[in-house]
Amino acid sequence: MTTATVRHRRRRARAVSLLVATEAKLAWRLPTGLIFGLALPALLLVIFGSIPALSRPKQQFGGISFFNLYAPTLILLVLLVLSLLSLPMQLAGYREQGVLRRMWTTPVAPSFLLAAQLTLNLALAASGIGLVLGVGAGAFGLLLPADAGGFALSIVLSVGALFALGLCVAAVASSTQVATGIGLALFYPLAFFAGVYFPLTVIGSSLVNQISEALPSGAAFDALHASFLGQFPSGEALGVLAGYTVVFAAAAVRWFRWDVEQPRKRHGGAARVVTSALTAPGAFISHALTHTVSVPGSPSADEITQQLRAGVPSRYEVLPGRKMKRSLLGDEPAGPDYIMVKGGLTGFWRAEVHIVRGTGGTSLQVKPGGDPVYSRIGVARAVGRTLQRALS
Amino acid sequence: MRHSATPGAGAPPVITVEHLRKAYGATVAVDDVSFSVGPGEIFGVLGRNGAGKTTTVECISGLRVPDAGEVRVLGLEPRHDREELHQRLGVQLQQGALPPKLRVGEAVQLYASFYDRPADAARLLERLGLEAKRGSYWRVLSGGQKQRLSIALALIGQPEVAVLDELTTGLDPEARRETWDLIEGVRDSGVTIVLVTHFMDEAERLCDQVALIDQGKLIALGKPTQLAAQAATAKRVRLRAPGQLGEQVLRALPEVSAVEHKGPDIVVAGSGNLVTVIVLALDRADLVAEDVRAETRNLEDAFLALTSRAEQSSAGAEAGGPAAEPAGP
Repeated sequence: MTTATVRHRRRRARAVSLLVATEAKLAWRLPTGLIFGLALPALLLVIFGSIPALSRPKQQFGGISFFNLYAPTLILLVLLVLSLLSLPMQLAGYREQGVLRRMWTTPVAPSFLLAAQLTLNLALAASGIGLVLGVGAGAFGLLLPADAGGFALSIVLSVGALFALGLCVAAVASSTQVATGIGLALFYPLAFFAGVYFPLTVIGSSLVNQISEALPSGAAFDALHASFLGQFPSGEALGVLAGYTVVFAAAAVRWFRWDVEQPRKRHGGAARVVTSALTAPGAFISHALTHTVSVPGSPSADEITQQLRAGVPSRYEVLPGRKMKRSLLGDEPAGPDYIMVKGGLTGFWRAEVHIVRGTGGTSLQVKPGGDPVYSRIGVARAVGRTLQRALS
Repeated sequence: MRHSATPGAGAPPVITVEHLRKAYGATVAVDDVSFSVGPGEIFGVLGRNGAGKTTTVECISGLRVPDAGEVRVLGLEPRHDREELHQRLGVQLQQGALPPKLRVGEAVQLYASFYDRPADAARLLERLGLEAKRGSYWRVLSGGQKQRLSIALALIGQPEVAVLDELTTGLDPEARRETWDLIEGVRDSGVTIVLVTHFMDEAERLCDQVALIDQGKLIALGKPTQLAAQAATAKRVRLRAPGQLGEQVLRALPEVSAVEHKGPDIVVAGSGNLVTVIVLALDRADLVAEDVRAETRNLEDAFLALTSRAEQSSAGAEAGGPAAEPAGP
């Protein structure tokens, strides 16, 4: 080996370790992934672990406790948040901001940045899984997977399938907001089939089970659940996970854009159909979570804007005359009847106020957007309260 | 020192661009552009917004693949020898942000780790007036500070060539002048610079050579002063309006081709020793010529003259007229 290649390799190793360290620092400073990927599952673990009734073995759960049945779900919650939300949001943001372009102009290819992000999120996933198993077993009597080999294989394939899917999202999303929109549209249903909302065994419908087995999160749940029971995961479940890993990884490689020399084709017909289909659930949830504040008289849009600016926390940005586009993606000019409020640094959590004037009073419809569920309990609630207090 | 500006005249060029062509779909962004840049030069790529400047330097930097033509930088092919080239070529992009919560010092340290022979980060930050901002997040920096950090990142690898795209756009006049001094300093340290700009004064002040690009075509190439002279088709003299009688006198002169009102002044266009002719003619009519100034041609006039000439000739070509005159000296 020549000295030049040795120096070259040393530099690469140093660049990669510095990149990972930098990405870790950035994740700590903007800890969305940390909070939802680690803190939320940890909180659920503590809550469910502390309820004695849930730790008693039940015949309906195959002789194990609800708490033990929920352990694979918590592990999958960690993986789903990190792979479908944290990773694509970061990478799409880097593309949008031009960070990938800038990396291209250095001797280190932007693929190193992708590798660093992947490494960081995989490390977070590993700590999340360790947290669930360690704290669960240590503090709440969780029975660890009896088939350790089957568990390890299931974890590897689940990580493969979900992170490959996340990379597909990162590959096609042109901005953080689009990435989050698509990521959430995938997250909610996949979380359902991982049993996040309730264990699917209580439904007992064969159709739901068939759908579940065909989806990455359902198959992952089946595989992990089996390994907890001491059985080797079924070939079907492992096959489904391996298949998704290969297909999504190939698609991500095929579609990934570094924002250098990309033919700037805007979303064509097929892509638009897919985007609408993916964003439809979010739009529906947004609509369902809209609430109305009735106020007497007819305050002007300017007045409402001023009240909002004075009343909501300063991290929220009040944008009169704009509305949310398709509930999830970006915003658009809309005229004086609409006021949009964007929250936080990314502006992802958002709410829209629609002023509807009627006889005898005005109703202000407050619609949460971005991630409508968290927006409803965050920015939309702050907006609603401010309006109620200031104008009623 | 302008006279020492091209120390490598005669030496082999650092950058050669030959018959470069790049289209996005049906839109031709760059069409048959050729030029070369000598070592130690500040080479300006000028043109209006959307003229094809950025595409040209993106092809030089290896961010885009030319549809046709050849680009060589330091003897390397930008796409094929990407890694080796980027060890020796620093690029400051028009759109290229950093993560909002990355600190200045961290960014410089990180980018330094990408290069074999990085510059001393502390000295570079000091030189760019950013040493006090070392601990600041990217997102709280002012426009000028972000620009300077971008320049720092382009220079951190001690490049032999630096491409700087629109680096003073959006800066206040003082920050612009400081940036100019900085670029001259960088050039004096032996770095060849390709400067993309749409500011004529910037090109005139800094550049040894400029390429004028309009609608994707190279319409002129040369020293800024040469281009200004090339466009000097008519002389212009500006003076305080001498009243209606005075204007009649001036219009009647054979040397004068046009008289135009500009605020309290008039601008007289014509040929010959125009200042003397005007002053004498007004004196003969018992009028006083006040505030007489000969207007010098600068690069901006040259730019306007050359681009409008290119438009006329292309219009002529469409109408079946004579083909456009060959570009450049």
